[in-house]
Amino acid sequence: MPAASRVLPTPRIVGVDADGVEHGIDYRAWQPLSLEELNSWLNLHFFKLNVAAQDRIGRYFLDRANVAREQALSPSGLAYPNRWLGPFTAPTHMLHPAVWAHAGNVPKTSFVKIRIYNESWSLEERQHNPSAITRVLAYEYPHP
Amino acid sequence: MNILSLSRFGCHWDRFWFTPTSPRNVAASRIVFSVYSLWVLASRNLAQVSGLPSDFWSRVEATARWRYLDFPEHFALERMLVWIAGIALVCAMLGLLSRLSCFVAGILLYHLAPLESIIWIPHPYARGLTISVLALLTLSFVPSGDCWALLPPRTRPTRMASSDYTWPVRLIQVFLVEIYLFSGYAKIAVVGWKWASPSNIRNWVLYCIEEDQIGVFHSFGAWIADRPLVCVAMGVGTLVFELGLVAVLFSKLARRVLVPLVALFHLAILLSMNLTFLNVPQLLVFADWDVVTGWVNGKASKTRESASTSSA
Repeated sequence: MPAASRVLPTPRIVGVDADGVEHGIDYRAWQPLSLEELNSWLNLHFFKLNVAAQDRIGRYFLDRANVAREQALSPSGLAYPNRWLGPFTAPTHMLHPAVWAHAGNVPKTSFVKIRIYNESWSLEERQHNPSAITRVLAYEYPHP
Repeated sequence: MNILSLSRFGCHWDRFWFTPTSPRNVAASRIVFSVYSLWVLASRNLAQVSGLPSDFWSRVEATARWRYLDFPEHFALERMLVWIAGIALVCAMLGLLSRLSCFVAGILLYHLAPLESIIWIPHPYARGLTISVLALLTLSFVPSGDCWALLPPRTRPTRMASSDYTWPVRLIQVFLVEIYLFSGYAKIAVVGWKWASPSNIRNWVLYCIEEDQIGVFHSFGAWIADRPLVCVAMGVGTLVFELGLVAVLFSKLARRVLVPLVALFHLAILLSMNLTFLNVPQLLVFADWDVVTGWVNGKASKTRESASTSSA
């Protein structure tokens, strides 16, 4: 069998706290957009926008991430798209792990910055080493 | 084709679409699609997409906006339409003004469903509501409220078997089978037969379990990726399955065997690749609801008989 060699650039949005530490963000933070729709839009359109438009979106991402972080730390937790259905909410085509399902996994301080990385990896290498990823910083807000 | 074969084709055609059946199957289709669509609609915040910052909408083409009448900055209006669609689906489920409620729900879902993805692609395929639109609009043209309805139409006598109840169910079954048929066709047309190669299947499985933003289940996919024979069986099996599922339209045996296998097929994809296919509950339209009703009634009467025997 030929070696798996597919390399897919995949966007990832991370939040950065005041200490400069990066944190993953729960997929539910981007409601009403699902993560796969948002990632597809980032790939296709975001980088073609002018800088001012990118920064308006960057500001929106930062606000959304901080609101979601606060909700995730609240007793009711970060809501599913439909709070009544909760975990019985119809999933999107791709499953996503709810990384902020437990308050212990939620960053305790606000994000001061948002970064978008494009990630790619060798399927073979990552099978043996999950951290074998090439990350390219594609955008950050506010700009350094 | 001679006259004889034309008339034979006509007989097959009539038998397929218009063999008289009871109103139960079309009523079951109405209930299945309204409950399912309500679940998906309630699981999405479609109205809020209209309220996203306008930069998200800046690349949406005018043709897409006018085709579905989806425009930005109409959050309040869209929220009202979502509520109307929800109420229409509840009415359809209960059999209240079935034709009207199915029509309203179908038209509104045609407008609302694309909001899920419109910022980058105006096609709502594989997101759960595509077949619902077609099915609900089909049901709006037929008397699906003659059975299992809170408010059956008073003007019509209790319906016996009729072809009016057959063709809509058949058409909905065709819609569902087309998902698989064209999915198989697209794989061959775009990638070719090598789509089923073990390396291609392995790459997809590995991608889906290694990408940690979508990875929920890992071990089953890793088990498959380590076994070339399982990969090739998965690839060939998928193509055979997708292209062959059309048999369920014509064969009762195929329906009994393949439809439950479809559910297992999607469960395996979910556990190995973290990909869901929401339409699975819609497969209930392949069930023979006369048989199901008979079975439930038989079981209920047996329970009553045994209860009366034991009390005597």
